[in-house]
Amino acid sequence: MAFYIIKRIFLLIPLLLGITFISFIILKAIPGDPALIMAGERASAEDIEKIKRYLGTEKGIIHQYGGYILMLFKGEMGRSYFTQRKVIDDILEKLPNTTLLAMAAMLIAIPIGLLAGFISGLKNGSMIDRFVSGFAITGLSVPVFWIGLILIYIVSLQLKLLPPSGTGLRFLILPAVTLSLPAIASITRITRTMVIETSSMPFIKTALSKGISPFRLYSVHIMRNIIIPVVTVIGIDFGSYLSGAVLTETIFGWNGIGRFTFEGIMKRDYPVVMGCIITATMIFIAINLFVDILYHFLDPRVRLGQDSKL
Amino acid sequence: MKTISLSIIIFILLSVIFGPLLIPYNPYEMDLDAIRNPPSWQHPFGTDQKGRDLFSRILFGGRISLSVAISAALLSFTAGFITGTVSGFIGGRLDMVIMAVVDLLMAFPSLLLAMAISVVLPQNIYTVMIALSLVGWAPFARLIRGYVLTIRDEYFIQAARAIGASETRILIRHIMPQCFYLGSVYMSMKIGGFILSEAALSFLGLGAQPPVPTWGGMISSSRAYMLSDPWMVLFPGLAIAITALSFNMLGDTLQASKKSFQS
Repeated sequence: MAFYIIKRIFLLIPLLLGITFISFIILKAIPGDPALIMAGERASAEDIEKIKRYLGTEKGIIHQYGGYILMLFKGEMGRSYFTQRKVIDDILEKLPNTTLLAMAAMLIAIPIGLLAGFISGLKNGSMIDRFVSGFAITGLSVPVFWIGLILIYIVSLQLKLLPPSGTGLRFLILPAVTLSLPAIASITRITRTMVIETSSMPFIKTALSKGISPFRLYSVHIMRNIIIPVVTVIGIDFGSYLSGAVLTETIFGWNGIGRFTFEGIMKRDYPVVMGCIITATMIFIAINLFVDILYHFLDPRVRLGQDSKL
Repeated sequence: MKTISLSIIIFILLSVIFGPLLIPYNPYEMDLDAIRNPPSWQHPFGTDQKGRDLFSRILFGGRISLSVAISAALLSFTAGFITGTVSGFIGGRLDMVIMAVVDLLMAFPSLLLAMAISVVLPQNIYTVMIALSLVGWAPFARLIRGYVLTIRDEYFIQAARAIGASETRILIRHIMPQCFYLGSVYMSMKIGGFILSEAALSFLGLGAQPPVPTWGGMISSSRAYMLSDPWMVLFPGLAIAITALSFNMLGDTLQASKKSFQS
């Protein structure tokens, strides 16, 4: 187990090198001197000198990339063009807000998605299944920013129930609901598929013939079998929730990394955009690593076959 | 299900292609006497903040948004198909390199990477298409490569080799046609996602710049008027949602048929 985790963490090193390389290439694609770009437009001469020294702009590209990694390693992501603040400081300040929003969205999405998927999978083919499935595929097809705006219009502007934007607990509900909708849809779909698949397995018939109570059947026998694919889907989709957060936070004025990214995009504040994207990718990779490790606790089959899994 | 979604898709494509020819309004023409008019017989979807007819802007914006999304899907398919078949068939070091790139691209949250790429590209109608394709080919390549690995030692390949077919010929005439069906089903499943990604990027102001209409861009520019004139936000969003929904429904039915095809 510990060996597996250590092995996975070592496998991260080439991945992180690759990710920083891609972000470095994107940075190089911006017209102008990368050192000036990273320092910001009104940077002092010594700041520019410092970054130039790091990057080694007059040396070869490999050397520049090495300097770039060294900077990132020290938590230096450059300064914003406009506020002159260090990008890393802003990100650390806004990260808790985004985490709160993501947690709230997951807290809504996981129980609703599991319940809806369970019901619709058990009643496969019924009216309620059609309704739930239709709702789920619609949830995957509706743009998240548009749903956010419609919710603001109905709940805040017409019914005046909740404030449209701001940061705080009362302001959390609408953006969290918005962000949870695509998650509810995809959790519902995978739960439904897995419930249908598991229900037809012989061990379910055995359990039933032994006179098991329906509650125990659902909560133990079926649940243990669907939890892995559901967790996988949450992990895989986490990347799209992060990009959904860019749109949701922008619409609701939520002071998180998503809105920060959007503002960076609008002002072409390249250090901010790159810093946010590197941070989001790190989070995405960490979540998926966590999901992989979680398998070992959830499913004994993975533990047995872990060498083939790698 | 299949017929319904297909007919909606065909209807949308036809109205986006031929609709602008039938509509009396020019999507760029401002009418300052008809600013933010609610839906009426003259303007079925109302007018926007510059008095432009929303219905014709949605049809015209659909041309741009849909051609960007669909060509990004086609480009991703083509690039992923070629790299996937070549990588899986040739194997060895080339395969390792290509798959390392694929894994790397898939390690990013895809829409965020597309945002980063579009920000540094010059802004025009090709920006979003290029960004989405640069990110989108990777899953295709991985899927196709995996399938090639399962078929490359089949008897029909060995037979082709036995009668002296060259490796290039085997790749093009035997491997590629086998993968085409799987790849195109996967593409049809992904088009809905490409439409939503295009909408998100154009909502963020990336790609085609105003006054050129895109569905996402129209929502973003009319956000400020939502309290008084909600239809300006409502209709472009409905256009995105209905189009993405019908493509996703089609993808679902095709995926079901793919399962029966494989087993």
